[in-house]
Amino acid sequence: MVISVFGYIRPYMPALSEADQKRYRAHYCGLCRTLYTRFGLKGQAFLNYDMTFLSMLLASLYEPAETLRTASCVPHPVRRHEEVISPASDYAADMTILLAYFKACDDRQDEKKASGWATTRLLGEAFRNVSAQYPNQTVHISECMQQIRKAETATDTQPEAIAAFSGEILAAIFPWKPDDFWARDLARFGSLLGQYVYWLDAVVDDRHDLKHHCYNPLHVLGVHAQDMHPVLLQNISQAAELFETWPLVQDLDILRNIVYQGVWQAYNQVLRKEGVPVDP
Amino acid sequence: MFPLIRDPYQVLGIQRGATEDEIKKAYRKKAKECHPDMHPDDPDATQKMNEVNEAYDMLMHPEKYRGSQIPWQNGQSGTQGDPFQGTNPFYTYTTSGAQGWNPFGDFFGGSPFYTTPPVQDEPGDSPQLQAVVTALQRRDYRLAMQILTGMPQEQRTARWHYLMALVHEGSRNPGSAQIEIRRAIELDPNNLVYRQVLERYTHAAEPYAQRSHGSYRQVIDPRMLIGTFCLPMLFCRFGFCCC
Repeated sequence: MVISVFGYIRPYMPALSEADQKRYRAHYCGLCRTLYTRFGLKGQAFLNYDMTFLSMLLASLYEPAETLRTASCVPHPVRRHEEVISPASDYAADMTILLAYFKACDDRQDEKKASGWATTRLLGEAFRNVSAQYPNQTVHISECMQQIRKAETATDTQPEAIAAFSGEILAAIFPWKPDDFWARDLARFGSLLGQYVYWLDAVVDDRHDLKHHCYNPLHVLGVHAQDMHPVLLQNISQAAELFETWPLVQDLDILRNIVYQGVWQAYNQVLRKEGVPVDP
Repeated sequence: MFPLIRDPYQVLGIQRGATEDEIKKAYRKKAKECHPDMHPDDPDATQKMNEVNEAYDMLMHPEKYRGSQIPWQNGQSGTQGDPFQGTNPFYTYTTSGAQGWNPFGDFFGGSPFYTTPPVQDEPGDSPQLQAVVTALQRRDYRLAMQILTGMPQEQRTARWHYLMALVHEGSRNPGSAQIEIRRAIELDPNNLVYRQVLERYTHAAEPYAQRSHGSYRQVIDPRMLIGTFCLPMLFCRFGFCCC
């Protein structure tokens, strides 16, 4: 799987204040509501933390007008909760569909999964609408996926090349407005984050891939989970360096929590499972 | 380089010596006041927004403006020459048409503001490695990568991995640069240059560790579920229990 949306870009909730936990949830539920409004139930099926982060980051950077509503929903019919909706959540919802469709194409082509076929049929019309509105992102992701497939079938491709192309998928998604002052920075941030996610996913899948004889870049490199800490750190620290230069005020504590702590949860969980001691 | 403005402090309405937080808040305030979406009938709105963006960029990225004609830096005009060869690095706000950076086209092209350390030919370098060194000196990372990946396995020495690390560094693939420099050190453990590069990478990540107070190494939250996509009606990630 090459599409880099795995739910790793999420907050570390115990370190957030109650107000910030509520605010994060409001963004998450706002994205869910937006997916439903724009794409119906099938859109909601692809709600994820990564695009919630995108929605929050863009809302913080551009501060578009937001609507705060209180509502209940089918999974939570009793307790009403807040939902934050804005043009940033609209964009994040559209990108959710774009990535979900491309992921399904990847599943269909590479892994011959029935779910891939079903999802491309389910999302076909929504994808056509989104791709017509965002041709840059669509073309970019499509080209990246072709490059990744080419690299994966070549005999001596280095995993680093695939990591770079995987990063480019998020580099395509993060710039909201292509002719904008922030576009270059957002693309670079997306690229660094995408590479972080690629390597993290390799770590998380290491044991499974070994057991089932699946491709895993760690096996190609001859390294283990605990060896990947510096690689992950390099990617996320450069992303954070860029992040800190942006004029972010709204939801900054939550965004920092995600960038400095939340993204490490899956990696630390793997180390703990493997009994690798963690440095204090 | 010819900036649009002369004094970023004046544009943002702040005093010299303002902290980063103050600069960011000032930008937010000015952006709300000047954004073209708020002034659709003002033909100068785009220009004003570009000036606010440039002012912010000058204060947050002063390294980009060394050598340019900016009297506000130390009260003098730059005299050291233009490291950016006269090109305007700004990705300016426009009301129509995409400009500037094409993410895919920029792949392996690197940033004009980020340069790898100087690299020279070494005795014993093959013609291909010499070509890689020349490409690195010109910051043509795409060409350098193409040459390196075209070399067969048996020629991928410590030097090869070192140069590949520099290519990845210039292309903003820092994790991959880390992998390559470690491989170079494995193959040539006594090479001080390779160890210095690794030291530089390690040092560059220190601000991140300081900001997180090292906490990033311990965090695990079992409450939030990791998984592939699933229907929120059945399995919202905030759990059944929060109804």
